[in-house]
Amino acid sequence: MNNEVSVSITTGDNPKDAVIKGINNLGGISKFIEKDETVFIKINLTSITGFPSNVNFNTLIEIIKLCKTAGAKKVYIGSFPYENLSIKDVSDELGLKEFLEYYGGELVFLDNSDKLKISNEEKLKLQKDSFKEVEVQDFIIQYPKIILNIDKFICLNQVNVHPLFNIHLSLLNLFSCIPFKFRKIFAKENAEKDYIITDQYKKKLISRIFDIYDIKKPNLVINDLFHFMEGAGPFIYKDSKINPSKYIVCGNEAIATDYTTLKILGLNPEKNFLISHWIEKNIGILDLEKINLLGENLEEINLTFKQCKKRIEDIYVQKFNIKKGQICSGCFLQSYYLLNFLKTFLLKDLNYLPQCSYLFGANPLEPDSPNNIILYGDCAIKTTEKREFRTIEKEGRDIKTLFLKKAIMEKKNKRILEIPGCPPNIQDTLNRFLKYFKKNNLPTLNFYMKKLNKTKKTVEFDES
Amino acid sequence: MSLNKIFKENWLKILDFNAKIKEKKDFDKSQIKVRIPVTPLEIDLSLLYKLVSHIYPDFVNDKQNVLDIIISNDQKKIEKSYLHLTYKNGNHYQVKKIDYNNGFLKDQNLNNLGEIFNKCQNNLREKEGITISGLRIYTEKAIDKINSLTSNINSVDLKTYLINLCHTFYNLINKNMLYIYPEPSFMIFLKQLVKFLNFIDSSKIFISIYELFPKFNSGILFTQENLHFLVLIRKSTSNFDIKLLDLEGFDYDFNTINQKTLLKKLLKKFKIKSIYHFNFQQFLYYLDDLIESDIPFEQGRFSFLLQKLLYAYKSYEINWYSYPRPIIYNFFIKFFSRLVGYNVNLKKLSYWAIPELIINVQNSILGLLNKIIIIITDFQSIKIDKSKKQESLKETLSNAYLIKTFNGKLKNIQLLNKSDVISENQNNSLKNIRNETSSRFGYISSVISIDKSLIKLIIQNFLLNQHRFNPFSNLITLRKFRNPLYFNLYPNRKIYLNLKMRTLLPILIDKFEF
Ligand code: SF4
Repeated sequence: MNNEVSVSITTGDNPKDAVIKGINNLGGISKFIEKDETVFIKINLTSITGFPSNVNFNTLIEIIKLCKTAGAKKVYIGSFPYENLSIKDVSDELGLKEFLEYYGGELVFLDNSDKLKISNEEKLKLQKDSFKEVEVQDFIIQYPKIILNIDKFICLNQVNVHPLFNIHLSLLNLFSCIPFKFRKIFAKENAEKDYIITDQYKKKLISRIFDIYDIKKPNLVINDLFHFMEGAGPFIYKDSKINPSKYIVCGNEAIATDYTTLKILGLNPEKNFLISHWIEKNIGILDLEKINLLGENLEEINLTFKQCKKRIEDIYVQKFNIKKGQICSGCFLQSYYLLNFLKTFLLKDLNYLPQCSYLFGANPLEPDSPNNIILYGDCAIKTTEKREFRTIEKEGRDIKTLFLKKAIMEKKNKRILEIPGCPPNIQDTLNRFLKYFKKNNLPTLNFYMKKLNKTKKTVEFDES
Repeated sequence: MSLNKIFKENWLKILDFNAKIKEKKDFDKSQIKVRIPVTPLEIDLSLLYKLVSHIYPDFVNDKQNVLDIIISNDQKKIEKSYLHLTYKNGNHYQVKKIDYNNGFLKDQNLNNLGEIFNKCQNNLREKEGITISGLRIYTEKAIDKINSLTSNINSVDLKTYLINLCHTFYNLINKNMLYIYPEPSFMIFLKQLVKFLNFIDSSKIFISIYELFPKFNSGILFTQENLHFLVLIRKSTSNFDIKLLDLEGFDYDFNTINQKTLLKKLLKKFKIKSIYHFNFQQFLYYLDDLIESDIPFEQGRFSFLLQKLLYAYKSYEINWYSYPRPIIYNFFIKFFSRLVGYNVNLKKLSYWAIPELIINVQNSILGLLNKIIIIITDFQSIKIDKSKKQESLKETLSNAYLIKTFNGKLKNIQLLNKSDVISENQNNSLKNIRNETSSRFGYISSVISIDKSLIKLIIQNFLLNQHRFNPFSNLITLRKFRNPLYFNLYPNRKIYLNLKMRTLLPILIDKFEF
């Protein structure tokens, strides 16, 4: 294979035709895979919901078949799902293991969640055998050995809108080569003062994404936007839509493939946080304007689509008065998911709730009333410690007069729901909502949490 | 080429009756029976007149006179033409033959019916001094089809007739034999429906649905100012029967009589097992909302229609009545279920939140682009060792449907052949079916099999026998859902399916009345 960076844009009547054409434009599958080689296909496998939160299985089947025709000895498929879900949960719910086996692939339980009934020692041994410890940003993460030792690595990425990075690019897909807990960004205790202003959360996240990308780079990258999700995305289906763009972008290099994908979607790649970071760090290494473009003419493609809302205040949630402070991308992202979840799934519950003030970020705006204040995130909690709404005045018997006279006394305001975390975790947030507003006021949330909390038990193995 | 004698005789009787009304003669109280045109259903002439006056203006058009043109099959020549004089309320009272020369339709494109309509309109205005509000063009083949449908209408049983009707209608629409201008909303609705069902012959769908209904014998009373009629529906193992009766002739004072007494009297008089009472106008409003909807329904429209239906259901003894009363409204049942922690007060049914919940759950499970296969089995049709269920799918499969959804709405339903689903050589487990069919039709996310007997039980216990206290039968029905012989699903979506009534009920039933 020569070192030229090539990207192919193809279209067709179905994803199968488009992806075959795309790989053929790059020289055919045999240019990437040689006989008896092992292949790992990194897919999107985020949750137990339907398409497009996971990969398009029609495209995946075709790639497995192509690998097999090239003589691949083994075709492994895998990814780490979203927080609190194990690969076994997703596989059982979607019938994935057997499905992929039927087409000649093997779903890899990277989190070993298929081996639940083993002793603690065996668990630890298994953990050691399956992961390599890698240091990134003064932090030890565990990277699956199977991916490190594979002959050929393919990234099949389902393109969707993304609230922080506009588009779910292959770089984000590759980030889920590691378990969710290593993808989380936490501020250190006593975080620097300018943590928010300089958006250290986003910076750390981006550099971790690139650290993971650097550990093992894919040989073939496929950005599947044949059917991509636009609108609220990525888990909020009610306000989202499938955009049948019919395009698939394949390339032999991830950055170039993502760069071209952004261009197809009419976005300026240099304004994309991930690509701009890469350009900043790698001047002169890859001239992105000199990518060898194959297939459809990029200039003639004119795709339009609806992006995620950029401001949290624009997400309307009944009974929630949103009071923003200074925020970083951590609370932006989590609030985006949380508020969209509430507005989509809890229509009934919101009718039962009283009016609430949702305060997030450092020094948030004043709440509308001292009742039902939700303080979301460590910043909101800490920077409002001395605010007036923390106490309320109540008439009562004054201790100084030996309870003989009445007086106005200051008391701690108990109508405040504090949700700690930097940023807070969604499942924990929802459980706190249930506790504060009571189950009978949140029947739908109670129903969902019964299901969600159940799945948590199956991933505890990974945390061991 | 003209319509057959049986049809004509019946039609002339109707015209005669309607013409007398024009001459301000009163309704004939002798309750002469005719058939509803093109059907074997008998009806009192006066009731037919009233029903047409209520339905036609809203669902077809509210202006006078219609022109029928019969054209040759090559669509080049006019064979015959009739002008139907109608009242504004749509009742026909006279028919006139109109002669058009052969060249009248020359150079006319049947896809541009508006132009043909204007030409006919101008012509009739000049010749007859009459304006028309509608135009219907039939090919000779269409008349053939209608003739064969109605040739034995005096003797045919309703089930056979309805199967033939579905078949005829499917052909008329699918093979361009009938053109109507302006196209009434119900016609647009039916055409969209046929297209949506992927041109599955509607008679097949009718037979499938018919077979799913158990035996029943019920009546539906529709009332509205000056209109009180009863529809008797009876289904036996081999046949079913519908009768329409005008209650004007019976001496009931509908304004003063107590609902329960009225329904009880009708139940006894017509020897039926249950009776329901609806307001006819509200029923028509709902029907209007339904046929004004585009098919497939957008999620918003689906939510609106379901909300209306649930609202109507919860408004028991306000908007509708029944006798015997549904057992769920019994005070003691409500009291005891509340006592054991189940709040089943249907008056507080969460009509506004349930559709959203259904849409959200559907969206999360199916996603925005999805294909599933539903297999209907008929386990009782063969005697088979229960352990051999997987192989038995080969014998028990009755129908299989491929259902596609896109952006949250049903895109289409395709009837599959047995060979599309069942393989001769290998084990026909749902898992294998899912994997095999995925290579043929694209990724299939789930395969569901459900047995006819279970669907029958659900209809019987939860729809038709709502008034019976039959906890064991209900329990047996629910338990059958856990028996893979009757209900099976692959992949087994445990997280969604293991529902607990106690957590689900607070979502379905409101705390307060909104
Ligand atoms: S609490 Fe939220 S806004 Fe504050 S630093 Fe953490 S993530 Fe950023």
